[in-house]
Amino acid sequence: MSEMREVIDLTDEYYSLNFKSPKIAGALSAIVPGAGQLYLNRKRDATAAFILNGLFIWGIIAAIENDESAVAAILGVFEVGWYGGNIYSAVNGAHKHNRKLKDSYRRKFSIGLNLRVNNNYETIPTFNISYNF
Amino acid sequence: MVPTIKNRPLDRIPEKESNYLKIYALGSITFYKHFISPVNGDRCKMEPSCSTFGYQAYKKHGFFWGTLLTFDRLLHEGNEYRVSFVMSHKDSTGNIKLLTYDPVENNDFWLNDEN
Repeated sequence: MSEMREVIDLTDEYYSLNFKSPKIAGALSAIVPGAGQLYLNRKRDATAAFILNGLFIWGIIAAIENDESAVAAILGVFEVGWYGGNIYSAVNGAHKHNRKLKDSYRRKFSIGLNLRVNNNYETIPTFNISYNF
Repeated sequence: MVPTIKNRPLDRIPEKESNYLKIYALGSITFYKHFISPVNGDRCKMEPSCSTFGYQAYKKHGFFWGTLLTFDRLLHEGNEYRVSFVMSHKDSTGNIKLLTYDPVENNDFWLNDEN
């Protein structure tokens, strides 16, 4: 009976895990480079994304103002990469964060109750209980 | 809802971009690895190194996703040890240093489902 209670508690625990939304992370980084990483509490990544995007955008504007169209084009090509990478980084970070939470939850479930949790990242967890006799 | 285990073959990702761009990107990274990196020194804190990662990403996913993966890798070096494995590595001089294990598979595992 106590084991059953433990199973119920652990199942409830899954829903209280602090998952991050990849869509929100990506949208935040699209609006302000680095904001999605900040949402994921990855402060170094957020700083890198903000500074790099800021510097390249500043460089492009300065080049356009000085009629240096070739420099602006070269910087623009790199900026497309930094900006796209910044959004990808935020979405990817959210997926990695969620995967780590699910993995540690699964491990806890398996160790604590000697149960096998099915390998499924997409939906609610399911598990098998086996008895030795 | 009945849970389903999704099949995730990586070759399902569409590669619509021009092959020339992919070849150009792979050539640039090869040039960097052979002529610039030896002079610049081995300073990447991750395994595989950023240039090797970029090469593998372009080779596997083509120009568009390869570019996103490579720039993402350059941005996320700082905090990666929190969500990935850390491994010890002995370099050519015998010194042991800690590297964060972050292969392409660690960054595209969700990509097929999104596409």
